[in-house]
Amino acid sequence: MRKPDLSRFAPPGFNVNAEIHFFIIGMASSLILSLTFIPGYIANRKSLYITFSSEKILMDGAKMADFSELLGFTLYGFLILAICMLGMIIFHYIYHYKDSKSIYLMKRLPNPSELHKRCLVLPITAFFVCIVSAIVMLLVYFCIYMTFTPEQCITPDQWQKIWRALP
Amino acid sequence: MIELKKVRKNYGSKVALRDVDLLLPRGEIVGLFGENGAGKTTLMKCILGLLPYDGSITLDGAPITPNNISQISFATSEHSFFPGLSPKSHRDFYREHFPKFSDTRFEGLMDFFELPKNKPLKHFSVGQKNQFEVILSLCQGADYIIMDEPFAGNDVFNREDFYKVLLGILEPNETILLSTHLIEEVSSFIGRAVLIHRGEIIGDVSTLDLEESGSSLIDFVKNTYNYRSDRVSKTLEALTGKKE
Repeated sequence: MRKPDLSRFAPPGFNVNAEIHFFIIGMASSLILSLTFIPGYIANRKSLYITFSSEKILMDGAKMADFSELLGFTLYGFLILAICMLGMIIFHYIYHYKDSKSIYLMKRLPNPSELHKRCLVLPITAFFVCIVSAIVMLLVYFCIYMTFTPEQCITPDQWQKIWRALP
Repeated sequence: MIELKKVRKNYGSKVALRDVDLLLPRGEIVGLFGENGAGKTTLMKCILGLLPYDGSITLDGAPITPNNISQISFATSEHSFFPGLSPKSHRDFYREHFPKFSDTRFEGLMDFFELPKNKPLKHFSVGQKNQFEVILSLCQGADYIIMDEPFAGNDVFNREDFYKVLLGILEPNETILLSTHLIEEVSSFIGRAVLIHRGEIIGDVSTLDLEESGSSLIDFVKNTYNYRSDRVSKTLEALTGKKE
């Protein structure tokens, strides 16, 4: 399959590969950070049990930590990367004033949307990829939490508590 | 024809252009002269729509919009190319956005100036950058070519060559508005001189009329600006105490 030419969506002469590498590294780091939810969850789930003669027994009245508490900062990588992508928009516009005034050319093109297309498309797409990834990981972790945690250990309103935990 | 009517531009409280009226018919080479800060660049940027202004600027009777902006090209000493792109990539970019882009002229001028085609512009010398900036403006396929001090940094031989080539390649319907301080150098190249001072047009004359009256362009400029030829000797006298 032919690789799409993303340079058409970046300022002319801009090092679009460097920007893509930065984004890929950012996404990979965010994913790794988010995966720290799993060991946290496993440790908390383990604490619900006691081991008696090599048999695991659920403790009476044991309660699992809230999902929002376990989630903690694990998805912040995606959010920080999303904010960086918004910053990239400013960087793209500033690029047209750096070392020359290519902004003069961009502003007098017969297609007036060309400047904005080249400054906005990639960062906004990347921004939404970050947000969607954060939402997908949130749902995956929530499903893990609800599926693998013994029902009697889950305190009510777990989903609502996520939003209450937001600043 | 580009027509400016009562064009006014302020930067805060400073008046940059004061009710400027100007006609630029097709096929003329017009020199725009004035001291630093006179309003030359502002005037050009207003024509290109790069700055907001009061008054009206029309191209063949219609306001200048994205529909007709490709009829005007611009070469500036600030450079409007992309430093990270090579001339070849610029050619492709221009081809895509300006349907009348002239490949023949581009190749001819690139060869004439012996500019490398695959090297990013950021590695060019200032003189080469100026040449390339002018080449792009001439190849865009525009009827009106606006040049704002395009040869600042080029040596005299280079500039003279350029004037000759320019005169040789221009089509009868192509108009050039050229802002420069090199008045004497361009006097044989332009057909009309427009003088601007503190945002006002204070002189507009054809070089043919000047020739017929036996006057030179530089004399016309000096007279229009009320240039005091004795100011140097007076200053030297005041500074050194010696009479010339």
